[in-house]
Amino acid sequence: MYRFRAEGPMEQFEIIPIFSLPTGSNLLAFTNSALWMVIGTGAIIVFFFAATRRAALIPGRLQSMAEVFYEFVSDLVRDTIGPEGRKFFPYVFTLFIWILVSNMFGLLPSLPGMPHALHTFTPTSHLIVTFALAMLTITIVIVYGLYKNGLGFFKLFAPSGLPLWLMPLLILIEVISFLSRPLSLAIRLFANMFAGHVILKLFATFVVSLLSAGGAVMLFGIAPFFGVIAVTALEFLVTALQAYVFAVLTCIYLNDAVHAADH
Amino acid sequence: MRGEDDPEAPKPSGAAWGRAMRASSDLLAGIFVGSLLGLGLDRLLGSEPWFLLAGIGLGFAAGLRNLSRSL
Repeated sequence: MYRFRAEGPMEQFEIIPIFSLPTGSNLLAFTNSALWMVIGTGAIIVFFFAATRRAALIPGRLQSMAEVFYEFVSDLVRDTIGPEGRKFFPYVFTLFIWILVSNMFGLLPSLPGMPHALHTFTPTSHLIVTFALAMLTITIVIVYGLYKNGLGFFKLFAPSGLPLWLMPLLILIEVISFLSRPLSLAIRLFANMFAGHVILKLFATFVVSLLSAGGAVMLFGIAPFFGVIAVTALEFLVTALQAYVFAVLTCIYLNDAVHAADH
Repeated sequence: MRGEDDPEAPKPSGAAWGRAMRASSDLLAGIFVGSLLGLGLDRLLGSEPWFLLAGIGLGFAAGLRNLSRSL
């Protein structure tokens, strides 16, 4: 007999170690979050291998899907960064697909009767994961910006056409604004995933508790039931949208790095 | 300017939601980073609370700068 109800809407975010890595301490463990990252990455690899295995001039179903993804990100990179952005395409594509799949897999229903550690889990619903991705982007922006523009990269912080007496204040503001970018990226993705999943589970809990109350009260369970369906549909939109937004902003920041000196 | 030539998001309702989320997180992140920098400087120099106050103000300005760029 398995439990139908979770302990609460926050239970889904619990990190559960599956096995400890052999380092002597149990601080480093393979967790359910890591498991779902591996599953997501594996699914992406399998999908693209299957899609490009027999590449044909007239694409089949799988190949068309892969090409849609490819062209979508490719257009995005070209429109935002320009022709120099070509070399960032692999990074942006990987980021987009990985976030999309990580977000989506959190919406899969868990198989009933599974141990808690194997329940579906959204890696991107933890701030540290999204923050790591954002820091990766910003690190690339800074390193590539310095490599490409040299010290001209710092022109990014000095908007042109300003009176001199405003410069110190505005440079300070621009620096803080630049430093807040990774945080803003990370918070956005994390908050969307987190809030959406909490709402989903809250609605679902209403349905279960109202139905188990019995009698006429059960009728009140109908509204939250349709609510869950609506929120699930919205969540699918939000997962795709947030992956897209992350990719767009990555492109905008990379564009700053590429064109910092022309400001 | 940067950010203003974003291609539109795929669906109108989703685009509005995305813009709202973006605006709020941009503002929040600016204030957060500004305050954190101020707090750190205060700890380092033992001058509580002056850098924190300046940091909150500058952070708010930076948040608005982020906003004006992303909207």
